[in-house]
Amino acid sequence: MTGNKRSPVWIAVSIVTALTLAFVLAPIIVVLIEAFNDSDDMTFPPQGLTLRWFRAFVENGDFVTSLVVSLKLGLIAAAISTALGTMAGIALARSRSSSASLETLLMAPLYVPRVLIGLSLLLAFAWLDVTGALWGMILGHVLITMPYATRTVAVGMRAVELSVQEAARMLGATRWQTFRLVTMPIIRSSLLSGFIFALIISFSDIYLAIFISGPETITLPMRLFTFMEWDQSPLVAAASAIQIALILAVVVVTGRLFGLSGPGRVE
Amino acid sequence: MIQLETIGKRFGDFEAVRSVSLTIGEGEFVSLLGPSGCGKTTTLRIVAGFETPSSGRLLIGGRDMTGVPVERRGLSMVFQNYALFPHLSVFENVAFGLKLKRIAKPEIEERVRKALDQVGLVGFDGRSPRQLSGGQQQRVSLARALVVNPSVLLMDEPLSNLDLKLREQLRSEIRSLQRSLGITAIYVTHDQDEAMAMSDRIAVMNAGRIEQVGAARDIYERPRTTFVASFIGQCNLLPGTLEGTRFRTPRGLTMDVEAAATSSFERGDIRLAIRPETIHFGEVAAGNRLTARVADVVYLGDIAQVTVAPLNAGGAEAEPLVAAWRTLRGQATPAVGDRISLAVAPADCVPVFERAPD
Amino acid sequence: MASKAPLMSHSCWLTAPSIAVIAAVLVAPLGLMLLFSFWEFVPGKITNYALTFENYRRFLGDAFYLGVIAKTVQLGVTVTVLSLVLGYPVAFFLARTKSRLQPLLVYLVFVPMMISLVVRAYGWMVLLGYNGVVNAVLLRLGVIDMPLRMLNSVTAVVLGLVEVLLPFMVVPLIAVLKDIPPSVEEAARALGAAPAQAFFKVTLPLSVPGIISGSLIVFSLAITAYALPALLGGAQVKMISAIAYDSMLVSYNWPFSSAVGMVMVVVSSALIYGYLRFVPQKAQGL
Repeated sequence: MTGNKRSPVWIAVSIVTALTLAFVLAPIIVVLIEAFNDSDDMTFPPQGLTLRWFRAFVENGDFVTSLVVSLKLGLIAAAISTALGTMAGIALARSRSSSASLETLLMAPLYVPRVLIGLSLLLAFAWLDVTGALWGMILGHVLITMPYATRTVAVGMRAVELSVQEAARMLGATRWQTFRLVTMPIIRSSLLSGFIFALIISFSDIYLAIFISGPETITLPMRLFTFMEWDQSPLVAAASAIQIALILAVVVVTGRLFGLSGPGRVE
Repeated sequence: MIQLETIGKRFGDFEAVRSVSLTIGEGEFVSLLGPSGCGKTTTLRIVAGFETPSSGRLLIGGRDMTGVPVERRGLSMVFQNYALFPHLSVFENVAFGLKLKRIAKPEIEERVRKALDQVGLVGFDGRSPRQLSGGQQQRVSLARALVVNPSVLLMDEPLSNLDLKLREQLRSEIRSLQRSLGITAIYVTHDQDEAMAMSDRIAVMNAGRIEQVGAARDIYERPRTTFVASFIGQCNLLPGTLEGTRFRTPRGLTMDVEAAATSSFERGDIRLAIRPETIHFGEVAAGNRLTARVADVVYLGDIAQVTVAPLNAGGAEAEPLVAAWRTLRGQATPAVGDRISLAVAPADCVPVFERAPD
Repeated sequence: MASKAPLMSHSCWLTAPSIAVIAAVLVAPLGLMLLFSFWEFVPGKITNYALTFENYRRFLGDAFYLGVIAKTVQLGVTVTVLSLVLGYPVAFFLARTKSRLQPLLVYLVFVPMMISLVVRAYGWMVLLGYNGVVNAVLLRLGVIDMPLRMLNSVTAVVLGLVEVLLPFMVVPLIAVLKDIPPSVEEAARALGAAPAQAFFKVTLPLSVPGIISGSLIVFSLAITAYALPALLGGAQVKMISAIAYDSMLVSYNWPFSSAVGMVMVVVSSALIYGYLRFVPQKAQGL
């Protein structure tokens, strides 16, 4: 049934795939359309096209503040995650194949449901009476983004042959020089991918925001979350579209990075 | 000079290297030869400093290397997979070690050019390693290793990823470079031809031990163990016992052995090693004379490999032997079933240990 | 032959900072939650260190909460089954297609994972709202005369969750299906099996580990969902995590919230353990 492209089963599979893809993408596409809707309420089809909701977003101090919080949080958390993830990823790539438990441990933040991470962090911060602080959010975001950075670096690192590092040592490089002059330049693109992956995960998080953000640390998704409960005007769509655009821009850029600069690829 | 003194290395329960002792002189080219898993690479990595020996001592130039990190041993290494830095150009690869030594730019330029010239890669400076063939990559790797004037050059199967022609060519290039630079070299390989063609001395390793060290000719003509005899070249290995200078197999074949060769074989399981090309076809006046039936003939071009069943004193067939018949145009080779006469000189009958003595 | 083992001992310390973060920000708070779940709740007082099983007894013994648990499980099963039904053909297609578009299609399945849940929930509001896309289309087609009220319902939550969790089903399935060489199926065909027979007798049984791991992860994520049900289900859909949220942030009954959280920890740990046992190595870590 796979060899024969015209078999009815294959056609059915293709149709279901197309429909499912439409189903998965539909919410995102309608948001992008709705953002240009020249109407004060959510309507479909759009009653004329306008950019006024984007201007409303820019002029809305709350949204802009939240965007800044999200970007600041994302950049700091992703930077820390990338640093920690690089170290762990290198260790993971160079560890024995039997160290599956080490990998599971490092990936644990992915497996624990986000709601439980949020709930337990809220409990801990509330108990310590330090709720709503930016550093608390940063800690939480480092936790949830670190596994992505670790895995990306580990994958890049597995492609670096041990002998290349050994060759540097033989030529007189210390461990640190070997890392700086050889390993690091070779895995640079993995590092960048890990950073961007972490940034995206942080930027789109809602669970930690729901539980541990305070008045000063309301992220863009959190602002939308509260805003949406009483207002579903195209302003929300515009704010959402801005988020989508930011993330897609990053994804497209990294997509190019992934393609162009595999480990050790030279211009 | 490099001295390995009873070096051992365990990985958990596995003894990779057992009590290896070896002294390598200034300017000498020594190969560590053996099958995969014999401990040759581990031994090389101990010399390099990538592994710490579990027991024993390593001295380079009379200095104990215990605790001396890789980068301060002043050695160079050429790897099987070339191990070039993929993000650097050919020039930068070769200059890497010199830059670390903070050598002045003009001198780096000059030395890199000279090294690339030595390995026949003039004009490749700007290329990326990816743009080079395997042979060219290994030449870059060689230039990179030699440009830093190492006290010892270590090579870990540097040619085994290349095809036969290139292998033979690079083999002699490496050897002549090593000779002209007067550099001490340790060469790890599983290829006996390579080891024989390049080395001053060969250390044959098996199961973590050095079974025999010597010049190629020594090792070929006077193997000490069944392993050495069979790993290098082809060899008949007859079972049996030695009484005085007479060797007797279980099926009653007797062979005279040169008295000098028997001295150390009073005890232990031994075999008699006879190289196929030392078995003469036809009648001779002296030596071990045999009558045999031809059991099998395999034509291989320059020789025909003739398997014979020699007859013992009672006329029964004894342990088979393989002999090499030099084929000549227009001359018939023995045929299966033929009854022929053979002779082996006692000097070509070499008693060997069944396994390396502890 | 050259062992990589020795390097391990040198580089193991590199994981120390990550492990420290996991210990401090994941393990310690969950440990605190475990302690809280056994402490007595006294209104107006944050902590009262008296041991009790009351929190668990209340959550697991009260008809109201049992109802919530039952509804949550029911919803989880529905979402899992729908995800499997939609995800299997998608995974099969992506694993077997020879189209040049395959990388793009894979991309399209996974790109939504990068976009915030809130944005996607809003997308569903635009789709299912009173003046939304679905109503507009149905009205235009004359299927209905009056717009339907579809938001704030179990249906909306199920649709949203299936959309969000589908990639988690697809990943292990693609991994498993890619490991089954098409030649196995062709061999069955050559032996006289009809295409459907070959699929049900060969491919489907071989992909069971993928089905199990995909189902376990989707079920585990569905029953612990909070944000999407809150936005699309409103007051109509109260799931376990909403109970935990409310008692933590509305009634300040931290011990009870902790007990609810611990029950979720235990259940999801069991599910994730199963997931890790069945999932193909390549697909791990989603």
